[in-house]
Amino acid sequence: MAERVSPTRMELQATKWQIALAIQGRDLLKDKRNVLMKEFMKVAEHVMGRSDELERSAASARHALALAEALEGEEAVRSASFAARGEASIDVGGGDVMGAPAPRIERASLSRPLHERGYSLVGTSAKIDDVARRFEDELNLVVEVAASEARLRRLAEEIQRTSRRVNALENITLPRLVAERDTIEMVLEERGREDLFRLKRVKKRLHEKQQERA
Amino acid sequence: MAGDYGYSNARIRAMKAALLDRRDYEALLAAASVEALIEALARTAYKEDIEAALVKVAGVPCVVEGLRRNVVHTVGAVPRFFDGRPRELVRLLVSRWDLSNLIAILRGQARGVPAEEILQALVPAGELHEADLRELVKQPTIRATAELMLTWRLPYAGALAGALRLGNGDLAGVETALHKVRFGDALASLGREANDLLVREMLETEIDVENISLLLRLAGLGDRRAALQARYGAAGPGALLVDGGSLPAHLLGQLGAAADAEAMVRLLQGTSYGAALQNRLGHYRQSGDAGVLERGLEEILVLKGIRMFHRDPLTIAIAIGYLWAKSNEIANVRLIAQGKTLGWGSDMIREEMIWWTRE
Repeated sequence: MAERVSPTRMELQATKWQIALAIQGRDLLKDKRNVLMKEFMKVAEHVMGRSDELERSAASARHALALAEALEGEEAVRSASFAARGEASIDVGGGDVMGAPAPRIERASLSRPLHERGYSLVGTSAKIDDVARRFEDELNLVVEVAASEARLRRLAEEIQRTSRRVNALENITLPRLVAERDTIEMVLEERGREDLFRLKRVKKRLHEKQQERA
Repeated sequence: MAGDYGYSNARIRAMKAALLDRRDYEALLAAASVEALIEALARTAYKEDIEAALVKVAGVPCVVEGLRRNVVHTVGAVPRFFDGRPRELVRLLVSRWDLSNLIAILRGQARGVPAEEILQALVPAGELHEADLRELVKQPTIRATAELMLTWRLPYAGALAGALRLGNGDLAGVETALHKVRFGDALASLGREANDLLVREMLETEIDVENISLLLRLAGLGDRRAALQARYGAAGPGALLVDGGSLPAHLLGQLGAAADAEAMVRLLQGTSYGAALQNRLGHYRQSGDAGVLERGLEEILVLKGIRMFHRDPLTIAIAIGYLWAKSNEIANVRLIAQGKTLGWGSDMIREEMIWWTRE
């Protein structure tokens, strides 16, 4: 590749400028990667914590369900679940993580007060309310963990992409530009030496002609 | 009176003899796993139902299915032992299964639940038989269900049509109206005869328990007055309370205005519910779960029903006692099965159970 470069002073200037730009870009990307890593670790810690909480919440909901099914009967709990059934809508909007696009899930609460769960308060029980409340809590955590996991995945992708760009700059672009710069410098130095030699020869010939005339 | 109840009550006493005794319960509680529990149940009066259920499912679902089969043919048999007025009274007692089934169908149809799934929420132990319920479940809409019920003159047909006419698509409102109709019609049909008074006594207790339980649950609602105003158009819970209980209206009003569940328990001191609620107040303070207090009320209701066995043996009291004893036994066996899966010890299961065994 270096052979195709025009060995001119202008090209040398341009290559040196490109090398400076690439170093600056690499350093910036390294800084970005460090910030992304810090953010990744923070979100990962949050996700791990909330995942543990989600597991506890799911176990608590299953326990409440088993107790309600034992005391009220599976049929009564199933019947109440029909009434409480509905669509849980969450808003998914566009956001960005360090300049990278990432889905943003709005954490609107999916919990409902006991008189808004679709079943009558007459003929149902506090045990059924308890099951509904615990499953709503679990659902809220599922949405929260899903939002954090989406952010985490996006951060991981961005870290990977940034690392690839840093590696490309460090291992491909910069060595190529340095090689180009060295080649141009070498050609220019060679050309300079040739010019000096030629000038000396011309100077010597001119001196010889002056002596012949004298 | 003896002529009406003598033979029928003898049949019920024979069924009472098949209820689990203390030794049966101890065997069930001692079972190391759900499979061992199923084996122990197969050595009791549940044998046929458990064996039939085992063909379809295993584990806790087998116990649930076995119990469901059992309740259908034991409770379902009780009205058939009676004729005339006694049968009408027994129908009032088993009508709660019909109402639960009807409400499950309405809920399922309102939310587009598949018919097979709705059928799993039904216990055809009342007047509505499985064939009737299957046909109702097949209806595409709640309105079509109401029309079919009117055509077939099924229980609650008029009440459902009326509630649908008045309601504005609010299924919870329709459910509340149906519960009120069940209690209201039953109380209106009762006279001053001794058997009528026994049924009235139980219905009044059921209404009290329903009302107190509802008020205790509402006590946990943040900004109760505003929430009730927004949902029911009134700041008090009056629209939800069932008329006809033994608690006076002014006490229900005070309970509705009480600041919290503890204040309600204080207000109920002096009633037949006060002591049981007071005993559970400590546990309620620790857990904040209204279900703890509600369970105390259920215990009062169940034991009151079962103690009917000790009343005049030639009255409806024996049928009342049997129906409550059977319901409680089913709940206890379910509790033991679920307790085993949750890893509870025998003592913990025992604490949750409402203890009554035949002598």
